[in-house]
Amino acid sequence: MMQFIREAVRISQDFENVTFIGATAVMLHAGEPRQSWDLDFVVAKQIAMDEFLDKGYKINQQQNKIFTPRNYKIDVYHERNLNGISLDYIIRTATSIPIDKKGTTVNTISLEGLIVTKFRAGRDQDIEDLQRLAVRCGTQINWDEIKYLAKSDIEYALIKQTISLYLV
Amino acid sequence: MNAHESIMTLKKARDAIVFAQELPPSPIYNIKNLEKIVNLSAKTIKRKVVHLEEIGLADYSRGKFTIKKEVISQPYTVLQNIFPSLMALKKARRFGRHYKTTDINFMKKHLPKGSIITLDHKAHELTKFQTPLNLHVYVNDVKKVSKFLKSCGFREGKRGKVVLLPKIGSFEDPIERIFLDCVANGGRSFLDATAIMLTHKNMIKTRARFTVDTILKVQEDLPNDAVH
Repeated sequence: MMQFIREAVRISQDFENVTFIGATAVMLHAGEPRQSWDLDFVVAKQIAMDEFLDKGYKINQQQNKIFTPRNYKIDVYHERNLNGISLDYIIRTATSIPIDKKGTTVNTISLEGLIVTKFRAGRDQDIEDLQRLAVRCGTQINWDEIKYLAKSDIEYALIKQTISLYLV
Repeated sequence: MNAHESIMTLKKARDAIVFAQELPPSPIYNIKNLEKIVNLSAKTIKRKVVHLEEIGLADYSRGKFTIKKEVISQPYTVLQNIFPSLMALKKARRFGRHYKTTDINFMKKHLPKGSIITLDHKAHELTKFQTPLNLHVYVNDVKKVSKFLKSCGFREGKRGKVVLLPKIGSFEDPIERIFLDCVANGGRSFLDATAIMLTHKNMIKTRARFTVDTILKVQEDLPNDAVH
């Protein structure tokens, strides 16, 4: 897990307002690694290609992929929204996760935002991630926030039922 | 369970599998709400879900259930091939001591004779696609190994990282078996199965079905040197 966290710290040092999402966020919240070798994050402003290159990032234009200097693939989101949640909300409500005793932190999408995005993605791997979040962080969920993010009472009820199914 | 018994169990669950294959996509189902949609009584739906749960294809609790969609949507021939894996996973027993990687290192140091590692760790060894989380080990005698783990301070529960599996089915073709285990386990293991299919295509006989989205996602995230 440490290698992913180290990479997340380095990316956060390279760019402003980096907020991790997806499997990296699940790892940061749940404290368990289970992800492919890519890190997804949201930024407030688009990062220019020159800035990536200046900081030693590698760009494969043919495959439309960006790699960190340590060869981790990154996916950067700077516009639109993530499964119906605005990037502005994700950045504004980001959770700062302490990484070490020296005060190093990494920003990640809030637990509630993560649960809603995973629920909406709805693939089998997302359900497994929800299961992991329920087991590891089930008691920390702010259900009022989930209610605020849910599109309807039905969606809120379904999210609650899914998490409850796996609560230990 | 012998081959004949497993075929009979799968046949018994056939109706339930067809029922699950026809469900509208949803992360979770509520039996009460499904009655009108599938035109079946709550009692019948529950019976089918219990069948699915018995073969590890659904999780049920108090009128709600989830299904392993990617696994259930496999052709019947694939389901037949993954059936021993499903049964082994259903009988899996989970152990933890410190609930950290140290538990896995301990188990690796004390692997019983004849044990076979599968899923997360083996898939990672084959593809480098995804970081492993739990150590799944097939052992000859689950009772004996669990007793040993308990004597070393391990406790049985839901959060442990060491998972003991009984040997069910064939292990003659190790890569094929790991692939089948990954398909049967579903979730993130299904991505591992896709990665194995992409990197070891010639060694996989079972033609499992993968969606284009899944293949593209895995292809995109596979380390460049992983594809043979």
